[in-house]
Amino acid sequence: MKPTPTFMIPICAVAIAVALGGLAVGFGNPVAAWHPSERHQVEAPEGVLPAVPYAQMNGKARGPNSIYTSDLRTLVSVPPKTTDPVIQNEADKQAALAKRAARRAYAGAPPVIPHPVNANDVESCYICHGQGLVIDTIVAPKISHQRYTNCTQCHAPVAVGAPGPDEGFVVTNTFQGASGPTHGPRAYAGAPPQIPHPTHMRENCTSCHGVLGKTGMRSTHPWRANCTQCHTPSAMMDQVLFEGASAPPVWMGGM
Amino acid sequence: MLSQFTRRETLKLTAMATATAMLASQLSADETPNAPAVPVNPHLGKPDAEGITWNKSPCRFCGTGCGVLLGKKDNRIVAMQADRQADVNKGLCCVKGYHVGLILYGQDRLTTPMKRVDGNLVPITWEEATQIIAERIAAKPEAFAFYGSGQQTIPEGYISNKFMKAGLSSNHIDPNARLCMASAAAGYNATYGVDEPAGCYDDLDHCTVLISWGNNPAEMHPVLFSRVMDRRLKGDKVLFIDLTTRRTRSSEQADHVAFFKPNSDLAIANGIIHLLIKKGFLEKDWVKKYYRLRQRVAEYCKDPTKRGDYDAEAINPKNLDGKDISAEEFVKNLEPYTPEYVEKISGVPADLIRLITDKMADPNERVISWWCMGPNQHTRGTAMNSLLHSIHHLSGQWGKIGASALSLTGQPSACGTAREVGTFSHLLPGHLPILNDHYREIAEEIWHVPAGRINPKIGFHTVKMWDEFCKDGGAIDTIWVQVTNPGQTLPNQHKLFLKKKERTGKFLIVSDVYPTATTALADLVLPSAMYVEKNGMYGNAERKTQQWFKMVDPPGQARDDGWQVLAVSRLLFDKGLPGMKDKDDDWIFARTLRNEDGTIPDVWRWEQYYSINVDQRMFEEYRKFTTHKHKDLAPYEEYVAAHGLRWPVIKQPDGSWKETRWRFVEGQDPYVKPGTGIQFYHSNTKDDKAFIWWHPYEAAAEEPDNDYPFWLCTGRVLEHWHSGTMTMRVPPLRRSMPHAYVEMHPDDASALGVKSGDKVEVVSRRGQLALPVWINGRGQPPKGTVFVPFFDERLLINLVTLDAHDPFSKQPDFKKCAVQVRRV
Repeated sequence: MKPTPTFMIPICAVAIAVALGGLAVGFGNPVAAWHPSERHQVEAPEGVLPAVPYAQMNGKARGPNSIYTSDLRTLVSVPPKTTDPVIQNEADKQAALAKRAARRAYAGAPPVIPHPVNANDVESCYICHGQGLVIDTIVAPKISHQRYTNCTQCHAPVAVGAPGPDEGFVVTNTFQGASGPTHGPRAYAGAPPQIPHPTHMRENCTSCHGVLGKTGMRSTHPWRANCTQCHTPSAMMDQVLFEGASAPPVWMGGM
Repeated sequence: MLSQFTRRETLKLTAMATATAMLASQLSADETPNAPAVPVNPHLGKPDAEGITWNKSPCRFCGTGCGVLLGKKDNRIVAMQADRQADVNKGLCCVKGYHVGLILYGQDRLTTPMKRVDGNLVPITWEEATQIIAERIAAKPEAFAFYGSGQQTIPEGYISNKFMKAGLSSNHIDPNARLCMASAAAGYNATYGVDEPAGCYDDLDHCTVLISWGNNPAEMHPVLFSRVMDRRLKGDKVLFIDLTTRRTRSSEQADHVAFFKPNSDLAIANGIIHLLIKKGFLEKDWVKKYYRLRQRVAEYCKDPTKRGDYDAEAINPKNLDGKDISAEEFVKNLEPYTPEYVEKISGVPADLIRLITDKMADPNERVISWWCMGPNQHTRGTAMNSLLHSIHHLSGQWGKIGASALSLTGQPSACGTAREVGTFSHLLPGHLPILNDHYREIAEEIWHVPAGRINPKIGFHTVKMWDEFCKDGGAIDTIWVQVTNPGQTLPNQHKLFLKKKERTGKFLIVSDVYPTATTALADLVLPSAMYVEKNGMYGNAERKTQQWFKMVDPPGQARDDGWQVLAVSRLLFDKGLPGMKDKDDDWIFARTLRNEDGTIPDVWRWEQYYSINVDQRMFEEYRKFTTHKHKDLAPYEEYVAAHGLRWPVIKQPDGSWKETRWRFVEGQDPYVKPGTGIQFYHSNTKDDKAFIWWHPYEAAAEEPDNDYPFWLCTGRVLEHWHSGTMTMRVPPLRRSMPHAYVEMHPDDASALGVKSGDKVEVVSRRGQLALPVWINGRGQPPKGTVFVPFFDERLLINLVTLDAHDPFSKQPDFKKCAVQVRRV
């Protein structure tokens, strides 16, 4: 190990002194630390930036960017309550389905990312999409599947950075993707609808049907936490095979 | 035969006797019960509630071999799903795979044959097109070459291979896989005496250490990368070490990232071997029992600019086997490669080389090294691949689950078609070397052609073929290209492709699905059916053969590549070309296609092509070749009924067929003699021993100097595959990555006075190209290095690259050359 440079010694000494002082203060007046607003504020002399009390450091904007308000913590809106009434109508549902389709080449395709990303850093995706959040009218849906380590493996972002325009390569593609189901079949009027799409990679129903789901796609009863208690998925669509199965069981024939 | 139980007992006894067999015991049947092959999903092939009929297929893109379910409605593909029954990808694809069906529907599909008249391509009929080809070939068969692909299906590769080698007695057939994984094949051959990996993807589920060598799997093999990395989210510990020449998305997830100087991977591997020797690994029982120490036969060419065919070693392909080297000499040669010396050459910290060696030396760790184009596109690619195997064999990181040296593959059937069907200029089907008299006799027997029909001389490899086509007075006049895009992917385009414009009497035939940089110079363009518009089979990078059925009709007059070759072959037979006749004066494909009642289906007529399953009949004949190198394939129906099988696939006493996951290891590989523990039964020295190699570090073929001060590395991005012909026509992919660029270090950019988006010219001794700069973008090269992806047909970086290649594999180095970067 290299010897400690001499200039480090006074710095260490100060650090230890501050730490001990802090410890003494902590022992001396524990309550004050929990109520920073009650603390006496010393007015700073002119031209000197006021120091931020330790207790406020986490919550207070400071430094040259302190005037900015685009802080995620202050922007996030309050999501609807699970008990807020949900009124369903066909127009909302069609609008929701259309918006959904716009981001997918076909029903079931992994949606493209509608905004630029720093695709090298997966954690930045999870900051918004890990639990889902709403800012004003913009919703970042919660991921619908288990966590993976490489989001852009399946979700293509908007091009960002240097690559130039699309000039000289305008080839249209005539692919027409499957439009997907608009509703789940019911065994009888009033029966809980069956899930009309695969649940593989869509295990988390609240991603689309929870309180942050699009109007028109939202569940009327988001407080119920066990969706498949009443709504059955399709083993066939989920590609669930039963050992030794060589032909679809008779009861699946209609699906 | 010993019962399963007795064999296991024997194995346990052997394990106790020697440390060597310990390796084998860790792979015993106890630990890895060979589950029966997953049956094909019974719901496939029938319409679902939405009226969509789903069918299985391997993905059309890379060599990973993901299972994809494609949904069809009204004769069009309308949806895709990852196949949950496919054990390669277990229900997850990448963004290319999720959009694979869209590649059929670019609006500019080629739908009619076209001939160049006064510089323009004008539509002609198929009859005219096949007639033109037949006449060109009949006039001068020896000046005709076929340039195939690692994207040809297995049966279609087999058709073209037999057409050339049996029909025209010509070995001037080579696949684009030469540019992609020829060094990997040479490395396996130099190590085991036989091609392709000993392990499989299952290792990825068990490794504790993963080392990437010049590789960016997060973008190039994302499904396999996630298969390892996702284990960390479930609590597994996997140490990921990224040895790279530029910072990539993969680096972001690495525990250790080290940038090495281009070509110095040779030194890093030697540094590891040096430390393993110091730890006494040369004295290990397994090293003495199962391996020989080898060195190259002769000195390589000293002049790096003449690397390739001029290398002394290249004169005799048998030199790939090398010669023995004594342990003393081996130690002496590696003595200089101390970690500090290697750090000086490569820039990789000495402590990291020690750490890697410690991990490899620890029997409790399970280490995987994986690589793709880095060590392959390398003028010392065979040496580098051999060294990667050597560090695993020497350290004992081999022969137990989760320990393996795995070469990843870039094309969907580089293994299945190029390597196994042997569409290389030096191979026969079943990976049988054409220089071997015995194997030629076997092939003539199976093909039922007269003795001596097969030309004993190796044909032109890719670089040579295109050089002979383009240079003044070259030996090749006509090339037929199928399923690849050499006008974009060959190195040194000015020399190997564009020179064609200056020559007279040269004729380029291109079968493709879209207009490309290659069709731009074609004299005859044939519209092809692609992917699920036809039956097919592919073989992936873990020896897995997969089958699919035709799902939708091709557009317009587009037809199967296999049909195109059969039709020309039949036309040549009708014209009386002797080579197209077998021993009985029948057409060479007649016996292959023959019905049970002895009649020959007239599949050379397009209307009749699907009257039988041509794939199946070709495959059944091809299978006869595969037992000679223990690459046994099962009957066609077995692949219909499974989501892929890894060869050798062996028939069991109960009539079922069983795949092999680990080769050369007792209890796993049925060809290993009981009691041997490990048996390299294809050893080059016929003594069941594999080779551990000594290869020195050497500089790259062209290194930066005062005139050309930057390294240029070329490569790929996640969204685009190969030359982008297909993926640039898929809107979600093009939206994400619409344009090529040049990555630069911020300091280099600031010295040049350019910022992101500014155009610069990348100039080499061979060509130049203007591109926008991207700083701190997708990848971040170190100072002195620039990186350009090759997917963009408007920006052909291969105008700049060089055609120097490895003496054995003949694979060019697309990863290293010297360039200037100028402001525009």
